[in-house]
Amino acid sequence: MTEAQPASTLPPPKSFLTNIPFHLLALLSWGVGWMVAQRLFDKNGFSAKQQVLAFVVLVAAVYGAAFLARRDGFYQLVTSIPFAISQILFMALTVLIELTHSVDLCRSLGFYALLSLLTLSMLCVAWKRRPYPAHRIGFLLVHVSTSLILMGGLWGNYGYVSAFAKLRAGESIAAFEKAPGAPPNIDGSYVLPGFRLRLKKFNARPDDLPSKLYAFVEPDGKGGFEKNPKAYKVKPGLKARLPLSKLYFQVQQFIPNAVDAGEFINNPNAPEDPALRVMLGIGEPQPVVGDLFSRGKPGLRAMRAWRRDEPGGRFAVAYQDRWSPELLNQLRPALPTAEKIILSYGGKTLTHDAMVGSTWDLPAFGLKVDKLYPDFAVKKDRDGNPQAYSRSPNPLEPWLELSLKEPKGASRRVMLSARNPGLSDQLNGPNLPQGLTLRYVREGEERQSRFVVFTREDRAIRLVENGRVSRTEPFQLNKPFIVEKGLSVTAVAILDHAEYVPNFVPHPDPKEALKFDRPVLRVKVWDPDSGRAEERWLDGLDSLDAKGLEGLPISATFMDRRVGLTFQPKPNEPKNVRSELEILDDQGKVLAKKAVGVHEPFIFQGHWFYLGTDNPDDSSLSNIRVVREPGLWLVYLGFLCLIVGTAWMFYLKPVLKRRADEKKEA
Amino acid sequence: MHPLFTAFVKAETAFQLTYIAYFLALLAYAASLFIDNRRDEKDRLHQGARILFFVGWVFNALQAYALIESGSTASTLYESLISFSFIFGLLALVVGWIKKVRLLGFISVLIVFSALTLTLNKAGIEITPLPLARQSAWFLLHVTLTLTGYLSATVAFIMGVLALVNPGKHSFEPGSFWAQALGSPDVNFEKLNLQWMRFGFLMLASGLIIGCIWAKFTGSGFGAWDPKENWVFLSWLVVGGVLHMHHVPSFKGRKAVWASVFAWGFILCAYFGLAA
Repeated sequence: MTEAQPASTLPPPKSFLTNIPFHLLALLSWGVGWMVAQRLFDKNGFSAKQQVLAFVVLVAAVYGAAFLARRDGFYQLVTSIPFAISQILFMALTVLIELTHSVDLCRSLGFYALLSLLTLSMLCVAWKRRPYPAHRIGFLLVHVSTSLILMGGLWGNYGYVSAFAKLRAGESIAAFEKAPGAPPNIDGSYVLPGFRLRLKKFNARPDDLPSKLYAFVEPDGKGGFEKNPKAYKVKPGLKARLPLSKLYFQVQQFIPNAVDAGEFINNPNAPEDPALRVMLGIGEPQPVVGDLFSRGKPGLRAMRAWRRDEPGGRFAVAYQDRWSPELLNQLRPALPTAEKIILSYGGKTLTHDAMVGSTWDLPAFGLKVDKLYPDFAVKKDRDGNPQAYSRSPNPLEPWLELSLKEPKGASRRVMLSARNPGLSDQLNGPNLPQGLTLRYVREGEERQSRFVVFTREDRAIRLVENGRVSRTEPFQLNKPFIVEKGLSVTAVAILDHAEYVPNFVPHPDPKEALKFDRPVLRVKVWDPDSGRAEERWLDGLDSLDAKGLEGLPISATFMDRRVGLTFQPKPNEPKNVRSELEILDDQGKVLAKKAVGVHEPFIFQGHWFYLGTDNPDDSSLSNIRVVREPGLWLVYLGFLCLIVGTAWMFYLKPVLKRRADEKKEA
Repeated sequence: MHPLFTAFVKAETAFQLTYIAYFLALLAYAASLFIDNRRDEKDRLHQGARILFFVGWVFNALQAYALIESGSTASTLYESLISFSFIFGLLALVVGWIKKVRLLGFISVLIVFSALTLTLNKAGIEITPLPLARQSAWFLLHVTLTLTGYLSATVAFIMGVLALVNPGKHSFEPGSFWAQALGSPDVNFEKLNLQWMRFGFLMLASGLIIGCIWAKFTGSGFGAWDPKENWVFLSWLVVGGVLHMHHVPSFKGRKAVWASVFAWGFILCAYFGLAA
């Protein structure tokens, strides 16, 4: 911009043109006046479209009137550099207030009014500095850019649409539900103009990026592992020499959809950890075999419980080191002494009451206990959508329903099972912040009235009914203990030094296997000099389990902890989705198509289609959002003018000007 | 064995070559700045430093190409730093090619070298995933340009302080450290301040615009900026205001330089806003 030239019939006083505090005061009045006007518009029920129209008309009227009343004075003011500085400073002040007071000033009519004045100033300056030889094109571009951005912004605000739809693979849709919220995007539906959107394929699995294997190598085996591992892309048969050592490794087997086929064995060299293998349902087509641990404690995925319910729930079986009459207090039906929600995050654990209606305010989000289902089940409603209900008031399968609310996000549903926390973890995964675990715990609850207790020390089996020992028999392997007619339990093995030997097999059902996502690797590490070799399974779930905690996950260690290997199946959470979208015309002809992921919109005729993350209620449904901002291209054109113009002004202008001057001199 | 060394040994070959070339370029730039020798000797060192910087950047580009091929340019902090050093390196090479200022080359190589050193020093950098919204080439470009804008504003601040201490044209001894480092014995810090403010303004504007496009791709739109983005916008406005002051006779000179020095405060806020 340039200093205003004194050429007017009625020039304003000089002090006004350079008095920045006075400018700031005038700009404050202008902005605040528009904020008051917007309040009045809102109060009188003006829609956003009406507000934009009123704004454009009134602003044009005010500038027109000012120009007519004080033509030269107004022109000099809007083209003066001190006034431009005042405007920039005032806008900066507005952004500062927005930042420090968390108020949304930048999208108010007041801010648009300031922008409109800046635009007018820049257009007037551009007019004043004409003509435009090559070296001054940059100046013109910069001073036209804000007008384009403002016009694009207002146009976009006028015709902005954001609407949603839920689609299954193969379905197509033309009408989207508008998101309720700020006008002009009022409730209702938005129909795509002359075309439909089809979800051709929907894939809720993560991107097919390479799985990686990370090798942590500690050459002398004295300390912990290095912080940064060596990374390898996993492929069957991958073989490499480990860094900083003479050791080699090779991927022996890769199963993308493995199921756990590991078992406990009795290893006399392992530490004492007494376990008893029992069989339930002898004579039935599929008897159940399981291990009970007399010093039971929950372990990582391997269930190390000292008691288990018989699958039909008719009695429980337990294993203890020695018999104690005090056990009878535990072995009888009891109501829970407390019901709690336990939250674990980053190694910390917090507890809260699980009473229905109670709320829990945490720094990042809030939780509210909405409902208790004592005997949880799911049925389909009229529209075929799954719906939770309670089969009975008896606490046979208690589940809690909670809502999780983030400060700026929508409320999300979280379901917690007291009996099967693993299942609710799986269900809630997409709805919970990364690394956070929620559990519903019913402390002190006992539902069984009948127990078969095996004791290690006296080799006895006791039948305990309602807290009283009703029968005692000696404990012999492979001899069924009859609880009642047709109901028995048999000890089949004693494992005093139980040690878990992991093993994995591919999922037996090929259809189910596609949904199943548990990749595992079998890796061999060997030392060619000594001939020593070790093989281990690396479970992809291990690295997922350790996420969010401090320290790095090590799936398995080899060679006296000198080598640690971590298997990272594929890019971590958040889970991405990839889908194929198609645009169809009225006859069903494909006009355009694209494979998209989250944050990779599909753009067609000014419509931006965004793919949402998983739908927690129904994994086969895909959330799709369409956004239409008609003036976007104008905004982007303004951006381009601004960048090109600035670079032109700063770097090209001196060269062009010098050439022009040289030409003139010549 | 030092953890940095073991991490370096475990790194990919392309990374090792990039790191070695950048390290040698850093040494060569330092030598061209500090070794007191004949001018032609120094020029040869400077020339060598520029070639090494370019060679390092070519290896860096190979790594970036491999990331693009694998379809993941910024899914982890490691990948994002590789991509950052690639974009920043390109920018620095272009500016260095035009400006031929040794100090600038030294600082640029130091920045890319530090970024790569961070990948060796930070735990689990290859494993730690970035949030999905940040796994975007637009985001990388936005961060790189914005950071370049901050760095330029910081250089402008230093030049501004020097201009306040040494107003007008300043002449160094020909062949002295500063004359060699800045590429000329006659220096006008006020002019340098203005040049770096301009470059910073352009980089901040580019960073903001790319940020807008990135926001549009993530689905939030440019109207939904968070405070960090707003701080960058605020800094950009302030820098724009200061640049205009150079055209007003009553502000031109020391007042404009003082304003640029104060404007750096906004940059600091924006940076710490980003880091928070």
